[in-house]
Amino acid sequence: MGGASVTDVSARPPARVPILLRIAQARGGTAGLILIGFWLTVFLLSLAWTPHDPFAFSLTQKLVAPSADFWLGTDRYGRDVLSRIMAGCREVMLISAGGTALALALGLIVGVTAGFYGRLYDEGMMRLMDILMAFPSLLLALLVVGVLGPGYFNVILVVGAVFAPRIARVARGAVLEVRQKEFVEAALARGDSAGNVMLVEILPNIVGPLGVEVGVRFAYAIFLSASLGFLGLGVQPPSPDWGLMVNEGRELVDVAPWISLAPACAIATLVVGVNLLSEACRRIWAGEA
Amino acid sequence: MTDTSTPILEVRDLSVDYVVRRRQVPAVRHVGFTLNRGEGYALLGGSGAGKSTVALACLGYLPGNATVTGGQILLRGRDIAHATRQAMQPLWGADLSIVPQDPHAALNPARRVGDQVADVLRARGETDPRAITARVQALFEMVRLRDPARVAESYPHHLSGGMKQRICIARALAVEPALLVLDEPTTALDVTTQAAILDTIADIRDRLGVALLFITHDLRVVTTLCRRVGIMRGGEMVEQGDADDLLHRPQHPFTRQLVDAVSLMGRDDGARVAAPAVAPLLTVAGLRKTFSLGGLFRARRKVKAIDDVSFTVTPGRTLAIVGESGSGKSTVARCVMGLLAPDGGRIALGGDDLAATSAGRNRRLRRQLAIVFQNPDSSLNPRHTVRRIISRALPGQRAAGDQVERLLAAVHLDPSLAERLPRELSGGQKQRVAIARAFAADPRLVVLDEATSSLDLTVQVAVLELLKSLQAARGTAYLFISHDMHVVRRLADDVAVMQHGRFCEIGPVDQVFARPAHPYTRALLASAEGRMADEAGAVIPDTVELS
Amino acid sequence: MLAYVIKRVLAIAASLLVASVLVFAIVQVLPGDVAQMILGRDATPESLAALRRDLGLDQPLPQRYGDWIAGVLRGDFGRAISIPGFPVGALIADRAANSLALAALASLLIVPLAIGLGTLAGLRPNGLFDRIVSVGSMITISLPEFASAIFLIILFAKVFPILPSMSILNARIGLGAQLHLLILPALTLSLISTGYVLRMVRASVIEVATSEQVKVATLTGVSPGRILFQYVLRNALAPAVTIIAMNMGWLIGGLVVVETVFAYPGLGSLLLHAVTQRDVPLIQGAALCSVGAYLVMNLIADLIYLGLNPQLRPA
Repeated sequence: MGGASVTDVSARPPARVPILLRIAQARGGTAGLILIGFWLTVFLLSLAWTPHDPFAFSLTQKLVAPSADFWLGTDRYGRDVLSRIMAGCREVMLISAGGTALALALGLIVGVTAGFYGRLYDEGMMRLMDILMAFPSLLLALLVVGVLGPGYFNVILVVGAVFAPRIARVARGAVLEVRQKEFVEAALARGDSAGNVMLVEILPNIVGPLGVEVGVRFAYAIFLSASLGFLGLGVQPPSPDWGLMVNEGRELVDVAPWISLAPACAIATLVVGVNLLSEACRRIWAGEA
Repeated sequence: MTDTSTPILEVRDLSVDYVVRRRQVPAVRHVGFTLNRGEGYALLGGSGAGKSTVALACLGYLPGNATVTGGQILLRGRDIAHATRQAMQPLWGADLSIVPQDPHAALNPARRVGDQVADVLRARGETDPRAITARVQALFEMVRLRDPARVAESYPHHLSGGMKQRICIARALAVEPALLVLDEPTTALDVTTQAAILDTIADIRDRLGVALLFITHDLRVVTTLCRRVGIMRGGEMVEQGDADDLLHRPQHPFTRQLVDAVSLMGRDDGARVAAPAVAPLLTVAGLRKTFSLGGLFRARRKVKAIDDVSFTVTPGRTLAIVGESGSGKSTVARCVMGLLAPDGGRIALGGDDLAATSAGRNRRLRRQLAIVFQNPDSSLNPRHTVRRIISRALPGQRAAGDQVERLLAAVHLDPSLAERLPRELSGGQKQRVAIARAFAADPRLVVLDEATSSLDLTVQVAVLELLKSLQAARGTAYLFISHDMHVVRRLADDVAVMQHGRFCEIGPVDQVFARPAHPYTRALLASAEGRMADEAGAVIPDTVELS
Repeated sequence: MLAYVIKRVLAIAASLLVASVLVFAIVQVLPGDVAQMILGRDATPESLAALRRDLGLDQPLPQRYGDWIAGVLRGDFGRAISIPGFPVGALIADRAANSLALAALASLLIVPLAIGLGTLAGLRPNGLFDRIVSVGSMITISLPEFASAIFLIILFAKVFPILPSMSILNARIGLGAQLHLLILPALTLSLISTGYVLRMVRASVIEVATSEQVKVATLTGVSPGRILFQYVLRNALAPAVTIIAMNMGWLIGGLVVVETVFAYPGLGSLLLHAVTQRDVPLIQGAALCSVGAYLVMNLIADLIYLGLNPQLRPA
């Protein structure tokens, strides 16, 4: 190191630990990885195979308790609950991922530009986001679904519309923090274009808080789409939507609790997995893990 | 009966480890020293040297992931190295206490400051409210707070940094402990306030006979308060002894470096070449900038950050603007760079007028200016490699051939560091990268906004030498913003002293330092020497709120 | 201080106004012919046109909005379509009281539990109690209301049959006498919010307990008891007010699902009914009232926070 003084000792670069290992080391990270891993496997499996046809009615096998043939029993139409859970896993993943992706895209556009440009544009945008967030999610979802009508793609749109404001807020907050840092000022002083600065300088630095928020939103998306399904306003029968399945089994809770219990447990484990993972990532980003 | 010959604090062969991500990391190794009644002992070292860990161990307040793996800490003869916090509780405040580093974070924001000091008194048995109030008053007077009654009723956010630190000192001394641990108590304060606080502490030491354990990284601060010094580095104590001896006859190479750095900083390097008669590179005339502050509750008030400032910078020479925080000097730097639009005045570079914001300036002019900021942690993008950081500053945002390597070599960095991320570099290395970035486009003027203030002393000296050599080699002019008179003397040719948005005085460094005309300049110079200014110079009382 | 309160009230009123525009805008985009829905498929074009005129459907949108808002300010929310002729205002008033009772009961559960458990967990992080509480709260925030409703029904109405699984209120008996019908719905409603608030309180307590001001106060000798209350809790719990207010919004949304599961006659089930029936005036009225309730709760939280936080008071 040339003429540098002896005291200017270079810090040994800390080993760049692979991200999965770091997550596993954080509290709850392993459990989260296991749960998510489990459901990802089910998802992939369901694309190719389910024990029975999730849509096949059966007049003879109605309301069968969990058994060797039907691991989670059958519902009132004789459909295999396990197969429906697996098929429903596909629905849940795609709808929630799609909705979250849409919310992320919209939220980023609004939030990053608002945080970067500031002033009136920022004020105006954030007021608008605040108004949208003043509506409890389900309420807003109800209104929008009331307009668009129920159905697969509409649920994705609803999820995207309802969660975009929150992502915008988080993105804006993160951008504001980074915006005032001097390396952004140095880039602006050099004359880098606004777009260049937002994409290259700022965006990589908001991945942390944004990633955590996306994880949380994904869990909420599952919530929201399942709740809409439960209320009959989401994916429509005969689709194996988990929320819908809980509703279908509600009256039969006395005689065939497995019809409602199975999808309820499925939702619970999936969401717990997502939450644990988000929490672990948040800890890592905050430097607590 | 306490034997007055027993040392208050005796640390023997102390070793402390931390557990970080399941790995055991040694922080302190075989450290030992003694502190007697009424004595001052300084623990000196750079960041990461382990001095704070030693202090925490002596206080019995090591964090949960730290363990004392060896040695003893004898407080009045009693070993507290492995004492639980519960066992330590009766000792805190009564036998030993602490003056913290950051007074802004050290006080409870939800409680009046008088009550916070009273809490210490109450904890040690005092119950009579009148006695408590009287004692709080007396303590505030002892730490030289003006209007103690009003201060006691205030909340922390109403008070200045200097006042808050005095309150912290008062609280620490409330029940007259035998040992006072001072953890870098002046680092977060302004230069003139620092001098005043140190003076107060010295006075208290003399009056109360309290022993001082003074943690610091700055050797210059030590000599006024502490007779003996221990130098720490990398968790070990490399040398200790009488302060005078160490200063004049340092043994260990590291101590020698520190001492050299101090004397280098305090020394004037010799003849300065008179300014050549050429057209100025940067011309600033009548610069003005007013901020209007205020939130929901305070009335909107206007702060004149810059009030009619004019100066020029000659090609290849350095103009320093020196002043304390709030003087407006950083605002001047930002206006020159186009990061802040001034309200009035003219800025011209080599005859071309510069637009108010950098966006409005043409590329050729923009390239001639560059800036190096104070804090390398926020001035380098943490997600970019060194190569990327420097490349983005080059024309076309791409490096041709070995441009990056050559720039790194010019700032005395090993070219292999190009693939590292900022968090994998030390403070000095990061700042060199920032300098390399500034020089990437070969500017004619570099603005240095407190560019050495965040660095350890020895690193500061090295960086200043680097800046000087770069200037000599490339003929770059510098606009150097600082609060440190020593640094200014080393680097600058001309200096402007700034206070409350105006220049008090401007002229060649030799002249201004030898024969300061303005009282504020005299006060700054005096503080830099560690003395309080005499009557002829204005003493800046820190009970005045800079509004 | 007074200036601040007035400013906030005005801000809330403005938000409510904008929210009303939003509600109106979203709902009025509804496809489908309202007049047709009322008169049925065999209606003649003349009667359809007449009805449209009656309902004011031939007016331009801004005017329809103006008429509606003017009515709302007078207390007249229009008439429902799905329950022909019934004034919306009366329907809402009827149900709102029930929902308020349910939300109040849920809040009574949430606030002490969340603050109490969160504080205790935060004071001894990573201890056994903390781990149990963390796992428990993680589970409750991961269960949507309808799922936890199912679990609770199975547990308390089937396995241990101590509570009814339906909460159909008898309008003739006072609410006080039917409180046992509110227990399961309130419990379901409170689970998620308790989980969230608990985790936030815990995090806040940990942050304050490890802050510099607590460390210095401890090391200068302030007694542990005083530190706990005046230095830790005093600073840690102030934000809890804001958090609880934010969760009230969750409660309002959750009401829809919970009231549906338990067949409880409240504002939430009314809104769901309105949406499924595409009953425009009813949707508008119920949605506006729900949002209004949430905004008012935020205002109250703001004022409480102001009272607790001396940093916001002028020097």
